[in-house]
Amino acid sequence: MQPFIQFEAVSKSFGAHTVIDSLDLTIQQGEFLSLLGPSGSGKTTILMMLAGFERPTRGTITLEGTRIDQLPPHRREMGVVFQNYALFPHMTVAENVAFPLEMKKLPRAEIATKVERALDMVRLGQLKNRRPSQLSGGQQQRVALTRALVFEPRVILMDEPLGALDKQLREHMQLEIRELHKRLGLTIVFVTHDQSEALTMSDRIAVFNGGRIEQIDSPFVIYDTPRTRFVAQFIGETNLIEADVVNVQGGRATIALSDDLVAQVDAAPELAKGQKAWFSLRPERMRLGADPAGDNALTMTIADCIYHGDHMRVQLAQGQFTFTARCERLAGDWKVGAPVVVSFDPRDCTVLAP
Amino acid sequence: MFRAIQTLFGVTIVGFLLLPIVAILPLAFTSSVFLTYPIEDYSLRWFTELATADAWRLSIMNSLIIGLGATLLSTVLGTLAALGMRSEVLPLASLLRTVFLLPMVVPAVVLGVGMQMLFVNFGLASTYPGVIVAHAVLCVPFVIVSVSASLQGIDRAVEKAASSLGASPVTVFHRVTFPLALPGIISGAVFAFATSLDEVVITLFVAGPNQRTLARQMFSSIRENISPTVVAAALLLIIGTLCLAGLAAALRWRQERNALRAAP
Amino acid sequence: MSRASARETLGALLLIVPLLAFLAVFFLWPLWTMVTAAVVDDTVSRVLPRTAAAIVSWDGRDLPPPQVHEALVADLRQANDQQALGETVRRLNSAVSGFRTLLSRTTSSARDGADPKTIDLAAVDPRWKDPRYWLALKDAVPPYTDRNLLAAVDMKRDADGAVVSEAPGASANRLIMFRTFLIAAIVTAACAAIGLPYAMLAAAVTGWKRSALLLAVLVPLWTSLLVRTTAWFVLLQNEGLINGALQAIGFIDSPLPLIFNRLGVVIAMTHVLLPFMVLPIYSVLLSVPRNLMQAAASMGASPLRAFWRVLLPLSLPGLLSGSLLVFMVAIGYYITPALVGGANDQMISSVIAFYATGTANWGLAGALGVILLLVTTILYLIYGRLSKSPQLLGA
Repeated sequence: MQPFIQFEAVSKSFGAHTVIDSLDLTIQQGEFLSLLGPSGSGKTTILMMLAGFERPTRGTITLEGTRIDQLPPHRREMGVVFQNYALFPHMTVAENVAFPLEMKKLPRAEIATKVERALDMVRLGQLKNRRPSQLSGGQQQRVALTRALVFEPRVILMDEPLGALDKQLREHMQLEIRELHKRLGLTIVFVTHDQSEALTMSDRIAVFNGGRIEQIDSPFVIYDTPRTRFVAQFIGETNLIEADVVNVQGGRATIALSDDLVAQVDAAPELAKGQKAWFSLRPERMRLGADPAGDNALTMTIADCIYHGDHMRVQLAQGQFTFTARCERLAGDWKVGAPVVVSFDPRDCTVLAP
Repeated sequence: MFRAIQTLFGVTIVGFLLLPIVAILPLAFTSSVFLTYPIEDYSLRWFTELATADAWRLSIMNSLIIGLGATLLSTVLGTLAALGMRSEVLPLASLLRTVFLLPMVVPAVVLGVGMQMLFVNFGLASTYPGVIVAHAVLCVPFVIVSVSASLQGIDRAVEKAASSLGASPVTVFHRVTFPLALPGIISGAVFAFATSLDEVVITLFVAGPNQRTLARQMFSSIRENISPTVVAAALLLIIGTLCLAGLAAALRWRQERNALRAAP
Repeated sequence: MSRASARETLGALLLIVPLLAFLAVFFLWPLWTMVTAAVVDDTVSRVLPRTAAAIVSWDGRDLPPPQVHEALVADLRQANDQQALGETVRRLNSAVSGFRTLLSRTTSSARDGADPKTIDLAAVDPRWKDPRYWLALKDAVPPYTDRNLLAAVDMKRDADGAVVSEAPGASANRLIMFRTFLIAAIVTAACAAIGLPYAMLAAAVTGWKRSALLLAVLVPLWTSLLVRTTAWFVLLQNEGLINGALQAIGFIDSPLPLIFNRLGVVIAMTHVLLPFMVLPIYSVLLSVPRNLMQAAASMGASPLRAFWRVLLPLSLPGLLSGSLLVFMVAIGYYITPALVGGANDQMISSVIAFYATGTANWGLAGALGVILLLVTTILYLIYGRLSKSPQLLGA
């Protein structure tokens, strides 16, 4: 199948500063792709090159096999939703939504019907004669979304569109956008620095760091099997420990976490004995108390225990070595300083080459 | 005690600032030829004088002609330049801005003398175009400041949004940038007109008797033979400039309100 | 630079060029004209080009060699632009009186004689044997002069070319410059004395009180300068409101002299320039967090001490910008001193206007203008530097 959008060896520099370095990226039709990364990682630059506000210094971008990297923004037919919505302050809600249709030179009557229908769909029909300044943040967000969708663009680009909303509204809009994506079969490229937003909404996530893609996979794979130290640390919380590979045998490796703590892990084939490696284990994948079927059972001491309402966070120590575990609540009456057995599944551990 | 001193001070200075302007205005309605209180009898004779005496009538006409000409010229040139200065890739932007604002600070007499010497060579001395051009030079900084401020208030994302929605650069300008900058352009024009209306010094040097403006006429009548006509003219100017300033303030306020509310 | 951004730069330049050209012709050129008027002095060298070339080699002792005499005769024979010749005569006559008759006699003899080489200048007029005339000629020949600039500060070159002060009483330019700076300084101090507490008051109160205080500053700013000056003219005159009121309450018997003197000028200019002081201080104070004074109080500072150690230092950048602005505008003032000042309150602008329109002494008007322009520009540059980074000063 021909890729829908393709970046080939795309680089972007501003003066001597290279923001994107020879990037390849393929986006399928109908998928929801999130570009996730810290600020300055190049994710927004990718979006701006796709929208046409920046031109690549080198490389090509194609849409359905046609090169688009030299096209001006207004010929690309991509609906962009901006960070602060970028609604036209001098136009009403209806005029804002009608704008892209006017640019397409549709007949007036058709524009009116389409605007009406689109606004009703997002429950803004009542507010169509208001100015953006008279709307709440969530309403402005919905107008911006409607405006980007109404002209049936080939791709929807969103640049941190939910960043300015409060938590509750943000979660609501996440569901609304996901729903729209499924219902209309849209291709969406979504830039965010919020990992939970990326995890909940996307078909695939591309994790950016320093102008390169560290990993591009489904949220499930990204979270459970990070392929680089950066991804392991950036997505979710993890215990990341530099360890020695003691032994490798039949897809299993033995890792020395410290002088007297050893763990069994599922090993990647390239892992070799005697090597240094990064060991990663999510706090919520640990159980406190012995697991009869488990391969890993380490005896450690409870150093601290922090109550978080819906869960507890337990600091475990063994000499200089520490782990953070997350569990629903501690059974029994363990006290700080008490010994405890920590168990985990070898499949939940990730070992990364240094 | 401290509070009382504060209040007294505030009221005194407000009085110092406002009373002189307010106190003389009733004198425009005196029937006497002297500018003194108490006013024995009220009349409109000095307004009649203003409307009928050739020198005053001509000067009011001249002020309007020259003011409108200078406003048009400076607004067009200043708006274009402000648009150009908005570009981020412009070299020497801060130097250019300094040059554009310089007419505001150069002493008027110095500029006036220079213009008088130069305009003789151009054949512009004592002509309407000469006075209009001279006033426009003084008006330019006000237009630049006002239009630049309104352009700065435009979120560039709004223009990007328009172009992503299919608007060509020309369409982006006339559907988005220009309408959003318009209040700034209008208030710049208002400031320009008020500046021209009030200008005396440059006019002294470049205008001939036929281009005498209202301000110039007031200046020489205060100097030579002050009469209540001057106060009547002052009242006219105050009403005119306050209306214009009110218009400009209203536009600016509306623009700021829009900008504030549009930002989430 | 990429092609796209090169095109953008070009577009931006195209938008700016009209204004730039307009200001170059109608703003910078007039200023340049004035500068050149101050230093260019080429009337003599244009009318007497050969003399100008020949007299350079003369060392100024005794009398010039014969070829200078011949050149002068040849120049005078061909000088047919009567106006330029007239200017030359005026210029030379102002250096040494008597040149007018000397030149007119020499010109007519030069034109009558058949061969320029046969004319003996000493025979035409014995004054040509006096080196003073030749020295004046030699002096007037260079196309550039510092005469006007020196005269602007009451100096001149003596017979040996050394720079010396003008005799006391001969000219009053220094006095007027000193007076200009003095009046500007008094007005600045008055504005600061009133403006600083006023701006602090405006920043301290809220609601309608703040609006009223600010409006009281803005209304005069929007009101025509001429109207405000008219107001003070009417108020301050002997039969004016102030004197009338004071006499009515029996405070004084005869009117106080308030107009056509220094006091009137200072009062009117302070009124006109006060907004320029209040607004910068106010805008600096607005950015000072309100709880700083509370913080100072919580640490045990009395209100007075908190003011002295916290609020005053923080308002200094505004005070400095405001003072620069007021001083800069004040030194160029013309209208207010012209209308409410007396003969002894005229500032440098009035003198420039007098030389330009009254006596058509463009050179001196230009030289004084150059000085005023220079001072203003320097103040403006300092002001620009300060107001761009006010926090540097606060630190």
